[in-house]
Amino acid sequence: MHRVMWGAVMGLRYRSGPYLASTRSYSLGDGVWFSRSHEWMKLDGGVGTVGITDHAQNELGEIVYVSLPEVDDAVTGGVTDAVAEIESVKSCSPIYSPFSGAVTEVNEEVETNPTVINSSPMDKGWLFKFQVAEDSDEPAVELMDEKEYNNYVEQLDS
Amino acid sequence: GVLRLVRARGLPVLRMLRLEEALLRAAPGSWAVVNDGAGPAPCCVLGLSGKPEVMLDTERVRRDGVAVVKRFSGGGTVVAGPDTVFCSLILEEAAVPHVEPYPRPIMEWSGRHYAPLFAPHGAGGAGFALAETDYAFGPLKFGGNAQYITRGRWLHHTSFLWDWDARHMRYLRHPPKEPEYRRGRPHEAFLCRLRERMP
Repeated sequence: MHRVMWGAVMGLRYRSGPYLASTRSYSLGDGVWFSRSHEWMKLDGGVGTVGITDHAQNELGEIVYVSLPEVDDAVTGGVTDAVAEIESVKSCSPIYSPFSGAVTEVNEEVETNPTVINSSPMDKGWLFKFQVAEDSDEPAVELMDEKEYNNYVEQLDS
Repeated sequence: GVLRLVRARGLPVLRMLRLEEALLRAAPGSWAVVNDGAGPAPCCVLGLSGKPEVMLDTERVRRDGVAVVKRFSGGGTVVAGPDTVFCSLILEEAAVPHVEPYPRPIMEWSGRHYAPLFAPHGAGGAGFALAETDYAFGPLKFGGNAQYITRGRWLHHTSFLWDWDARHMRYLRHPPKEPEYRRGRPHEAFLCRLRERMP
């Protein structure tokens, strides 16, 4: 089933393209997962939504610019090819995806107002969504659930 | 660990930045790149998100045929030339495990790293210090910084003002966002020259 989405939801603008509804299963269940480099990914029926965590936005400082991919861009899982880049006052950091796939939506709101990532990193500050590739069953980087991630951050802060 | 040093003299800014980015993305290990002077002509260098129409006097830049280059790192806009000394550090996280790979810890570490070199040449209220994210003697900046932080390694690069030509500073507009300590000063009242303080 193909569906094209456009318009605005809850006043937030986004760009999106056609996507396939999927009933695939993965080694990870649906839910929110976290990487050691402080990205979060919400996995929901074959579509991943990616952003950075509150810990990351706090450490980066004021975010001044975001470079997002285009809809339909290919995504390579792992730490070789950055999917997006975030610039804070003096520093740039790449954002990676744990799975391979193709971009389905980007959050235009963070392009025009990057500080949304600082104020709402886990919600309004999402960066991009992607359809996980058919042959990408295992994440290419280690992912943690929320409890493991919070313990990880506590250890870093101590 | 081993720190590999690349020394250059007069390497144009674009080539220097390409070298740094290639080392950061594709060469394992830790590196330092030192470039003494950036070619014979001035060059305007913007950060990743810098907009020429905001940061530069584009009419003057075009009239004088000045090159404009965009970095892959963040940070502000500078004019580089034959008297700018560049030092870039590309470090594996494992080589400096006590430095958290985030902008502020890296900046603070770099201030401690450079202090033995610069502190002897500052005095009293004009001592060497980090002024927000700049290197300064008191209120006068002599080095600007930018970073790129990726998984397992990070780059911190600096343009040091050994000397500078006031005419070249006219290529730069006053930035819309400035560090607090600048207090609206124009470039000529905000910057100093290392050659006036170091032998």
